[in-house]
Amino acid sequence: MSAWHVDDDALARWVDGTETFARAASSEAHLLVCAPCRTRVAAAVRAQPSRGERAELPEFEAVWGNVRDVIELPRVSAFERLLRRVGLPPADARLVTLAPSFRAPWLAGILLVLAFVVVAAQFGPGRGQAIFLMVAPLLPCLAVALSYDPSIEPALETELATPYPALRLVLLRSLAVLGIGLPAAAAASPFLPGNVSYLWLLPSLGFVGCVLAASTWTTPLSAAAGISVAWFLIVVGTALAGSAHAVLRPAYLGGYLTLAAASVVVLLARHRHLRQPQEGGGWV
Amino acid sequence: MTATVELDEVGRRYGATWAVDAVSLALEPGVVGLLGPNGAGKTTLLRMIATALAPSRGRLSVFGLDPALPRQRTEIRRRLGYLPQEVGFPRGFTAFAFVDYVAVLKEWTVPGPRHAEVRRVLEAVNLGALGAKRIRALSGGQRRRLGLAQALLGSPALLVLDEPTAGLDPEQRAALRAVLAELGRTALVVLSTHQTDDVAALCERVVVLDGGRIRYDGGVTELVERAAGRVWLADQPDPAAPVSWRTGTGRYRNLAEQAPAEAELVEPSLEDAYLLLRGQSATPARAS
Repeated sequence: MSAWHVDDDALARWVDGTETFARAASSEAHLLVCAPCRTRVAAAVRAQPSRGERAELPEFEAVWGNVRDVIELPRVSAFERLLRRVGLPPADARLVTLAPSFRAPWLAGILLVLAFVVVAAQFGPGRGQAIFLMVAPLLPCLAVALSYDPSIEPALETELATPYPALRLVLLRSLAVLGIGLPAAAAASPFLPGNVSYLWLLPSLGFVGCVLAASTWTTPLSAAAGISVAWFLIVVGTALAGSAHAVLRPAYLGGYLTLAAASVVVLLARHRHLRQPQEGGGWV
Repeated sequence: MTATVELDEVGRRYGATWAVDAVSLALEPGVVGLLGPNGAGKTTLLRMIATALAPSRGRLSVFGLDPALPRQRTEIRRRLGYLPQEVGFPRGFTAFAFVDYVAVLKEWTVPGPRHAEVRRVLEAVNLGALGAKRIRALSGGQRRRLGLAQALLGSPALLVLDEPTAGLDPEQRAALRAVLAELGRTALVVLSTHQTDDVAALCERVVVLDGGRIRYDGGVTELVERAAGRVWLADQPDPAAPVSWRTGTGRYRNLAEQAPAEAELVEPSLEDAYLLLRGQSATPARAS
């Protein structure tokens, strides 16, 4: 400790930031070693007449809140930004992208499609087409089923007791799954051997509608499993009779569209019966 | 005046088994404890009150509303907080993201107030500093408190908590009791537990279930009084006592109608009363 101390005016200028560089450095060097002068700093800060007029010092709570926001808030993904851009309310966009069971199904769907493209390519045009047609139209409906099935969704029991409309949740997730799954599957089609038209998207659409409508009676996964078995038998039967591509004949396509339309009607009429039959049935 | 929760001959069947059978209750604001052995029907009863499960028979009303009707069910859920027995956590989420997700489902659509509410409930369960931590990195007790945090969103008028103290250490349990006791001043808190000391510390009213039926419904004090004069400390176990165990002091605690040899009569605890009740016949009993 020295006998010399920073005088009040010099301290005020240092606190105010108006001191010259050399004098400020001198004051700082002294403050580092002089406890009595350091205790005067707080009083000098409070005494600054211009403090209230200067740029407002940020409130601690606000700064802390911003820091916590950066650390804690879930990051807005590119997909969430896309959903907001196409008009989905921010809360709904958040719900879709945060849905616990959402990411795995669509990622798995895309990977499966790519895997089947590779597998189908090994079998040549005829069998390759049959394999693709057997699997690809089912993937979107399986992904939708997985995104809202009680056996897959870990937080379902918690979700069940919230006021969020079940129909809205189901449709939002379905659209999100389709929004990613269908373009990915469609993009894979040109890489298949032979000529598989994009018409397979129509049965796919019908199956998704069918899963949602059937979910008013049973679990989405049971519905998707039933549809899968039926479709598998149809494609195998058609392939044995000639060409699997026959499942995309115009007469059938009308049937797929009718199935989709009828499913929408059933879903709207019975949406209050949407249920997750856990241990025998509950309300949604 | 309508009770917050009313059950009239409510039953729930799984196959041929009635998990809850002809239960009638009227619950008012306060903390109500559900006691009973495993398989007694506690979880099924709580799930029905939380509108997660429909009764197979009987009439259930919450806030005077009928959960069988979709609009009224939604209205009930707006005022409900529910902690299931097993909360399925998306383990890749952070603690904050999970509660934020449930908050969106609970119609907290505006981000600012929603985030403030998420922080409030995380602070309430002493997880405020762990918001950014992944759920898979949380301990069992921390996850249990995280499950409770989502139930507290919006300060609901009805809290249904299935074993909220399971997996918590004594300090955490004490902190949780303080939170629930405060909530119970204005809201109805229905909780199930295997911890009789939780019930003794928290609840004004206790409902004992066994085999899906109510064995006791009344005040905690009244239930404890039923065991008065029937709890004995002795150096030897009493073969005639329905329940007897060796305590930490080396003496035996005998729950019996008659005094064992050289036994000392002691004050009963809620656990004594509960065990005596369990040891009795299956005849439903009411305190008053």
